[in-house]
Amino acid sequence: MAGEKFSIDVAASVIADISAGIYRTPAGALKELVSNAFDADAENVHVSTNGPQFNTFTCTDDGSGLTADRFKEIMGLIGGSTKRDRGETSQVFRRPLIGRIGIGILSIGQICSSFEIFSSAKGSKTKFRARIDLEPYMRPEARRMQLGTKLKTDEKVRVGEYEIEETEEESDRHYTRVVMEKINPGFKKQLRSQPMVDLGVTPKTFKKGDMKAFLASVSKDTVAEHGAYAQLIWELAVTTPVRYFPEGPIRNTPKLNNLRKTVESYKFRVFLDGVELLKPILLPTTPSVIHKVYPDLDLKKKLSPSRELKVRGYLYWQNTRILPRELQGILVRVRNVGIGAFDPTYLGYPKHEGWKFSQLCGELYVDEGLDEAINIDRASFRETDDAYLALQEFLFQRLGKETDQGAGVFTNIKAISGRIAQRKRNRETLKRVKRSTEVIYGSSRPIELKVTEGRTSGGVKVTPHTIRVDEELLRGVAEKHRELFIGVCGVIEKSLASILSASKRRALLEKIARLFSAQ
Amino acid sequence: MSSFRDIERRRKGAKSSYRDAKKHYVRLNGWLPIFREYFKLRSGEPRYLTLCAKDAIDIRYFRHKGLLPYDSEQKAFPTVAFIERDPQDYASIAEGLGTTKLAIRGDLEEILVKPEENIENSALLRGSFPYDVINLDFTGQVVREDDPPYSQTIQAIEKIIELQNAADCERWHMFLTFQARPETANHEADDQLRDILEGNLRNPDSQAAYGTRLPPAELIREEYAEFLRVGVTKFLASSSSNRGYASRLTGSYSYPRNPEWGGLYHILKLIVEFEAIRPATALPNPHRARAAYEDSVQQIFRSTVIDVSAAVRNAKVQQALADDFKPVLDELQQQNIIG
Repeated sequence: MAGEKFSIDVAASVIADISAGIYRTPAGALKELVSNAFDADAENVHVSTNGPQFNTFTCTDDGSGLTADRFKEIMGLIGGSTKRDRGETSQVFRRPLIGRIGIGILSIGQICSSFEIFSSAKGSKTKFRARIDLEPYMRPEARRMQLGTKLKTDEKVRVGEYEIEETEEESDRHYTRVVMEKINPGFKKQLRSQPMVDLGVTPKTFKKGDMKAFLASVSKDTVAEHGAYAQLIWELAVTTPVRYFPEGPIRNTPKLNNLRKTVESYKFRVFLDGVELLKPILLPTTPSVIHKVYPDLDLKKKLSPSRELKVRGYLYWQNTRILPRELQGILVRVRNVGIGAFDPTYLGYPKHEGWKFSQLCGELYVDEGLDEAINIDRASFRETDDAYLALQEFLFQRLGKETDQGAGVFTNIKAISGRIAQRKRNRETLKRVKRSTEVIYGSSRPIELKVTEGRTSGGVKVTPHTIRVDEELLRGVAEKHRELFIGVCGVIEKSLASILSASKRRALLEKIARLFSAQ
Repeated sequence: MSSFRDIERRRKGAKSSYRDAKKHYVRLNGWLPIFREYFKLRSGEPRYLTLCAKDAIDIRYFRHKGLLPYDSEQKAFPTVAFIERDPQDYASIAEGLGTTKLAIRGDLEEILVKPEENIENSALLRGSFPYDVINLDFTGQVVREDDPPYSQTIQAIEKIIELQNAADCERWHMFLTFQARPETANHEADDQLRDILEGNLRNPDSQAAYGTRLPPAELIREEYAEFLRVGVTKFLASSSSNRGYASRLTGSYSYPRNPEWGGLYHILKLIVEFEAIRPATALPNPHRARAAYEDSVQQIFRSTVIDVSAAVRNAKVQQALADDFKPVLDELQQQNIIG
C-alpha cells in the first residue's frame, strides 16, 4: 500500500500519568523502593508510615547507595535502566537483580507528589540531597502539554523537576533514604479509615505483635476487611523478597527447605513501622487439617536459543478453606518478587473446579525467562508472551491432567477428597449404629443389619448381634432411610414382642414401611 | 532553602555534641528532677513535647530512667510528641523510636505561626495539647540578626503558652535552649530588652533583687549571656502573665561553645515553670497579671546561672555523667542509626 504516512505523537502528560498511575496500590509503589534496596545489597530496610497520622512516609536502606552523578543519570533517563549491564546478580550478596526497566524511582509518585532522597554511595566521601517535585506535572494543565515534535527513539519527556546538592560524608556510610511528604489525600484517608471488623488490624495492634500475630488476626476471613493498613502490610510482606517464617511456608515439609533457605541466603530484612515483615504463609492453617503438598513444580524449558524458562515451586492443598482468602491461588514470583497477588484463577485455568480453588494455594519462583512478560505495573503479565504461555501450560497440565508425575493435582485432590468423604460417611454410619443399638439394646455393641430373603411371621428377628428384616418389608423404603427403618423395626420387635402377636407386629411394620416409602 | 552543606554541618555538630558532658549535666541535674515530678503527678504518664533532634537523646534518656511510658510490645511512646524540621532526622527519629503520640515533619515555628500554610500539621499539633513538659531546643538564637524583634520564634513560644492555657493545663514546665551569640545578635531586639530591663529597675524591690549586676547597658556589652538569660526569662514572664500563667525560673544553665566555624558563643538552658492564674475562659485580670509579672521579675533577678563548664571540671563528676549516660549511648550504638 503506498498511502500517505502519518506520525504517531504522544502527549507529554502520558509519562506523568504513568508515573502517577502505574502501580495499582501504594504497597505496589513501596515494593519498588524495597526492590531497589534488594538490588543495592541492603541488609535492612526500614519503612515508616507515621501511622495513625500517615502524613509522612520514610524508607531507609543500608544498601550500596548512589552518588549524585549516578542519581542524575537515573533521573535523566527514566526507563533506561543499565542495572543489569554489569551482570544478572548483585555485587555483594549475588542476589538476582530485580530492576530492569528503570522506573522504580517514579513509583513514589503514586504515594506523594514531592519527596526527598538522601544517599551516600559505598566508598564515596560525599552524600547528596535531591528534592523531587512531580506536582506541576500532575496538574490538569499538564494534560494539555504536547510534545513539540513526534516522540523519537530515546527522546526525553519531562515528568518532574528535582534539585540536587552534595556535601561531605564519612566514606564508610552508605545508604539511601527517601522521605515522602504531601501524601496522596485519598491514600491517607484510606489508611486512616477504621477496619470493618472488631479487633481489626491497626498500626497500634500491628506494632503490638509480630507477623504471626498479624497472620492470626487476618486469618478469620479476608485481609481486606481489616482495612487499608492491613492490606499494605499484607501486600508488602507477600510481594517483597523477605524471609519465610522459620517453619514456613508449609510446616514439617523438608522438601521446601531449599526454597526457604534460598530466600534466607539473601540476608534481606524489611521492617514496617518497626515490625519485621515475613512472608505471611504458614500452612496448614490449623494442625489438625488434612493436607497435601505438591513440592516439585519444577520446569526447565528452552523457549528459543537465547531464552529458557526456569521455574520451581509448590502447590498446597488442605481439606478446608485456606484463610485469609487472599492466600487462595497461585503467586508467581519473578526473581523473588511477587507479581501481583495470589491469583485465584490459576493463570486463567479453564475448568470449573468449584470449592477446590478455595483449598489450594502455591508459589512459583521463576528464576529465568519471564522478565519480559511482566507488564509495566509489575503486577500482571502480558498473557500472550511465549514464556507466560509456557508457564500457563505447565501449570494447567500439573493441575488438571495425568502427567508423568502422576495424576493432575485436581484429580488427586478429588480422589483424596473422595476417600476422606467415604471415611467420614463410614464414621457417621458407625456413630448412627452405635446410637441405634443403645436405643434397641440399652447398650452400645457391634451389630450387623441384615436382610432376610423371603417372609417371616413378625418380619423382624433380633439377636444379640444382628437385626434381620424381611426383604419384602424393605422393598419400598428408600436406600437412605433403610438403616433408620431397620432400627425402628428393632425397637418395635424388642419392645412389643411380649405384648403384640407376630401378625400384629408385622402389620404395624408394614404401615411404618409405607410411611417411610412415602418420604 | 538552606544550603545542604550548612544543614549537614549543623547536624554533624549536634551529633558530635550529644556525648558532651555539659549537655548531660543539664539533663541529669536540671531536666530529670522536673520529669520525676510530673511522672508522679501524672501517675507515670507525663505528656512530653520535644524538638528532640536526630538521636532523640532526651526521649531515650527519660525512658531509661523509667520516667516515660514505653510500650515495648507496641514499640510506642504513647505520651511523646516530636517535631523535626529536617527530613533525614525526621526519618531517623521515626524509624528509631517507633510510634509516638504525634510525629510531625515540619518547622514548629511555621506550624504555629502560619497555620494557614500548614493546615494539616497545625491541626494535628493543636489537637495534641496540653503537655506537662515542652522541650524547645531551638539550636540557634531566639531572635536572629535578620529577624524582626518580635521574631517567629518568640511568636511560636507565645502561641504554645496560649495553647497550653486553652487546653486547661494548670501547671507545666518549659525547657528552653538557645544561643547567646553577640556578634550575630539582633541589636534592635536587644535594645528593646534592655529598655524593659531598665524599666523593671525603676521598681525599688526589683532593683534590690537585681543586686550587684552591671547596669543593663554594660551588662549587654560585658556579659551578654547573662543579659539574654535575664531578658528572655523576663519576656516569658511577661508573655505568660498576659496569657493566664505565672512563671518561675526553676533553673538556668550556661556553657560556652567555640566551634571550628563561627566564633565563641554561649548555650543557655532555661527551665521555667508555669502555673495557671486564670482559666482560658475567664476575663484577663490585669492586676493579677501585673502582680504575677512583678513577682517573676524579682525571682529572675535573684536567680543565678549555673556555670556548667565549672561544674563538670571535676573528674568524678565527669565519670558519674558518663556512667549515667551509658545506657543511652549503648542503645544508639545498637540501633546503628543511619544517616
